[in-house]
Amino acid sequence: MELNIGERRKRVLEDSVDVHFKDIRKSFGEVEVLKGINLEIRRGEFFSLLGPSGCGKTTLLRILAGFEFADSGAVLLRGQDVAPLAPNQRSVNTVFQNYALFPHMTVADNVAFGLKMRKIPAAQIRDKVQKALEMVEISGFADRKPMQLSGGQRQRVALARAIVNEPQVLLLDEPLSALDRKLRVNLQVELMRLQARLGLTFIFVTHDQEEALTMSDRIAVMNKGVIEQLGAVQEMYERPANAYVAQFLGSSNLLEGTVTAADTVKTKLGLLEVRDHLPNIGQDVLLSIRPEKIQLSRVQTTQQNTVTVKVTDDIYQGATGAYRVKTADNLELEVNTMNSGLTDLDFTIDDWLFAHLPANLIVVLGSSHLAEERSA
Amino acid sequence: MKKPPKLEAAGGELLSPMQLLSRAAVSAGPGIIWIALFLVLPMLILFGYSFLTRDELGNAVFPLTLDNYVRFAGWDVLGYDAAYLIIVGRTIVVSLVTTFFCVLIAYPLAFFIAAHKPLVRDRLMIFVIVPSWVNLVIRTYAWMIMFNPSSPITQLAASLGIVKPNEGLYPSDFAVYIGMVNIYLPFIVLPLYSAVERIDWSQLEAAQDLYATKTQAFFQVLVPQTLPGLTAGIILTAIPALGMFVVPDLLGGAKVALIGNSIAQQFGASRDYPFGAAISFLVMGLTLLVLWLYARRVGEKGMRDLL
Repeated sequence: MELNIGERRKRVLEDSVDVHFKDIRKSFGEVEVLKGINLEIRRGEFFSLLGPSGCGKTTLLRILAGFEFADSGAVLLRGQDVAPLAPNQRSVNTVFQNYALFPHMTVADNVAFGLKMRKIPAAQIRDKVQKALEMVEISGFADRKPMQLSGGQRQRVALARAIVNEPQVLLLDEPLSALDRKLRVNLQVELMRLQARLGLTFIFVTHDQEEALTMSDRIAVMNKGVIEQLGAVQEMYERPANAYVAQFLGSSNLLEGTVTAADTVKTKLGLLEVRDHLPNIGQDVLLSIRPEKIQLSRVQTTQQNTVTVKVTDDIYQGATGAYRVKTADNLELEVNTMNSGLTDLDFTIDDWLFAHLPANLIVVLGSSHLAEERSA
Repeated sequence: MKKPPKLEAAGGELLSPMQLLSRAAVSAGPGIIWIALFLVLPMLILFGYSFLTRDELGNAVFPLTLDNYVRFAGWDVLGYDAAYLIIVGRTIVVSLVTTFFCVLIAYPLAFFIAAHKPLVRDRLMIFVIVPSWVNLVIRTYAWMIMFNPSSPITQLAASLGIVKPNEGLYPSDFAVYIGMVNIYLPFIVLPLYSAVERIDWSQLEAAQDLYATKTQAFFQVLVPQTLPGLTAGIILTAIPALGMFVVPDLLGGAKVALIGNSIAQQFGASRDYPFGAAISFLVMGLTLLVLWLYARRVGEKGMRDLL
């Protein structure tokens, strides 16, 4: 069954859990890299672990693959505790960041390696290898050595080498980070199609928020060993839980304020109407609004949540434009617009404009999990 | 109309054949002359010598003869005696045993060094390389001192019953192999290490991820990648070891003749240059034959990897 990318997102995932991380803790020397990770990954899901380098996402993946051991906690793979299993006994396969292809073997031998180790009959190996190579569209290179391939081709070999084993879960450790942008985008689409076709559970580790947004069903945003937020892609972007997620996943304008009424927050921009659920009157809150949700105009369109601002930076980005604007009180806002070609939306530095912050698009942020952990 | 000379592109310039030739002569000429003068010419002279006859005074004189080669093969005036062929056989055994022990030590050593951080690696390599800067004869004499009857090592061996009291650990085959392995170890560690160092260790994890046990991962993924380095090391050890004569002479007590000793003897005590030259060329021919067989098996690419 061939699903297009839009349909893929809408497909109903099975309820069964493929991978269950239970309170995983891990330290390297003094540094605690995983601080109690709890995570359930569903069968057939494209799941991304997103975070900056050093956040523990790769360590979590390596614990699942069996290359690291958790100090405490358990990893269940389809209900079975994997702790007593060596890496070669686990039904997971990894696509490594640097591909880790075997340079002395041909592409076909690389792909056949896992099957040979499992003592699959040679005739079957040949068929499966051929099929896997076709699936990633490199069957023409079967007899080449990895050194004779381009980066993108090596990536495909690494992928074929993993999926040919039909693992329960496929682990991908920043597999696209070494490729140039155009190729990366193409491979993103192919990966998504492949995942939908195979129905495999993918756990994808990346530091690239765009990649995670494009491909995943669900994302866990990690920061210094904790999961800051876990959820479906759209929910994560539209309703970031805290400042860390709001800024790591896309960019955000953050506004500190105090609640003055049931739907009003006093900020440096003045009184803002907020539809999101607010804490009690008198409490401090942190608000977030995405740069593309602020509407700039030369004429005032509404009284609600509108401030006058001056353009300080005009950054041309091709399809989009990025503006930095400042209020009279020197508060800076980031605003993104589409390059639609409409002259009334084309602003220049020092223009005085009206910035409208729609009340329903302002999100109230909670505190970071890391901060909670620290205070606890 | 005159045809313009054919121009060839060289380093972004267009040159006529004459210009190309003159540039080649300038750049490669000195090297070619050096090799011709100091390698090819002496070899040719030696090759010529191997067909001459030794007179009573030990001078190499005419007539030209194949007697030297026939004598080596075992036919002498006194009848057939395969003494020299046995020496060649013994030499090959000594060379192979030396190489075997060198590999046995070098393999774990190369992995041990490569497993360290780059800075530590360099320091460890110094310990492998620097001893080879000490003159071979001096090192051999050092072993003689270590193995003489009064040295602590020998006394320890005596107290353990390995040697009889008041007897040295040398002269003995054991001492010869210690000396030989000591000398040739760097020649095998260096190429092997450079092969091991280039290995991407994440391949070990990849292999285990693909259902290989640690042992399978080592033998099917790591070892094949060390083979070019290992082969280079074996060639660099086994071939020079064929010609070694100082160590067996000193540490072996000159009791067992090897081909190197035989050649040295012909050019020295026996003053039989023609016969010495003949043995030299036969040993060299044997070595080249083995190399050629190897080259034919691995092909051009394999040889390039080796170099």
